[in-house]
Amino acid sequence: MADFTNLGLDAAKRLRSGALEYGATTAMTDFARKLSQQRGQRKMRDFETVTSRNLSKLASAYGQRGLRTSGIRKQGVSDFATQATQGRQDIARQTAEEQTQLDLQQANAAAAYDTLLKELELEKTGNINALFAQLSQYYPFLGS
Amino acid sequence: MANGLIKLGKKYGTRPMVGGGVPPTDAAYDGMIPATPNVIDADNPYAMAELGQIGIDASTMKPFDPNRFNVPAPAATMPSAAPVAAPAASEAPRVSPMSAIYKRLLEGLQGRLETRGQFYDEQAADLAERVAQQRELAQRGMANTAAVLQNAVNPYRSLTPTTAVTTGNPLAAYLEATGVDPAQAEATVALAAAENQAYNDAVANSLATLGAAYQQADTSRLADLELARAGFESDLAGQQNAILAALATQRAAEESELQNLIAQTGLQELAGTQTYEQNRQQNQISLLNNILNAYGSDLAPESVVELVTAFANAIGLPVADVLGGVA
Repeated sequence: MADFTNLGLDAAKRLRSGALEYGATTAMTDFARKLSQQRGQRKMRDFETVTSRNLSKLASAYGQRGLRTSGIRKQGVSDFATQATQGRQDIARQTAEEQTQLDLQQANAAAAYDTLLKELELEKTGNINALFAQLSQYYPFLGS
Repeated sequence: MANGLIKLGKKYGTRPMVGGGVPPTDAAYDGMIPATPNVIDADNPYAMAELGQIGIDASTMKPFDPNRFNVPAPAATMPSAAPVAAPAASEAPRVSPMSAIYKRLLEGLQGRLETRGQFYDEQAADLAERVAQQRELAQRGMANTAAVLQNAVNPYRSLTPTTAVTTGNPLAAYLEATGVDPAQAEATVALAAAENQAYNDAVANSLATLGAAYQQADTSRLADLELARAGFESDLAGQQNAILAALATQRAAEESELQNLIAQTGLQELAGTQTYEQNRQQNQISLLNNILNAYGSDLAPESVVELVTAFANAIGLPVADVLGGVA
């Protein structure tokens, strides 16, 4: 037998709980996204600073040793530049991964809330239909 | 005396009284005793009244003629073959007093039968209306649910993965400043781009899988809704049919009971009317017996026959049956 007393009330309670969870998750991911972006920017800025400083030191070091035009110096600078590029790429990718992770987390929360909403709606429809069907059984006692 | 007056020639006291007694002479009866009690004439209101009860005109009666067997009977005195005129067609049929009660009962039962039939018709119509209202309400609710379920907000489909920024050639500055090997620089950029592409593809695949699963869940829920709708329609129709069947069974039982009552009441009415008619005829025959016992010996035989014939016609019985009932 359908629970007529809680018809709709239970669904609304669960929906409020789901909405609260979705809101909390959204706020948390938004904040985490902002922090991640700031962290990425800071890392990138620090990395660029360190890389520029090291590149100057590297060039000076080869110059002091009279290797300004040598193949060794060229290879060393090239390796340094490659590592710097990879370092920048790693920072950018890490930041992007964090953003994607947070986006996915937000999407999961939205999906969970949307699923809850739809399931509750479906459940409510089933309960209403069951209520109608049960009321029909009592029709002869309901009067005209 | 009026024309046709019957004089029996016998005066009061010539016939022996029952038990050999004398006629009452009390003053209380003086006014009631006719001067000629055995003579059927205007002076004998008892005889006139008794014959009148069975529709016989006393003036047509002929007295007993003791010499009639000595002379041929005149043709005029032969009993007429023509029966006394039957009661006028406009005369109200004789019915038992109970018949009216039975007819009222029958009318009531017929009315009850009709009223109950209308009641069940109204119940069925009311049920159909209620079911239609329930169906409309449920369909409205299911339409709302379908609108919610069909709200294809797929959070995974709308999600675009954040990609790492890949500059066209981040080593350009180094190339210009330090003379980095162009081939190595291109390889580095290509590697970064490939890594980004692999990452994007992986994320896109994950999102596609999640989005497809989510879409499948939506489709499944819509199928559930359709199942709920079909189940509801089935339940509603089944319960409507069950209630209609119960109403039909109850109606048939009630109508059968009422029709039995109507049939029984009709039989009772018919039997009561027959009994009443039989009793009435028997009473009339008894009355005729009394009349014949009292006056028959003083009447001419043809008048007796005429009397019996007229009586038989008056009460609607064959003469033979009346003669059989006369003692």
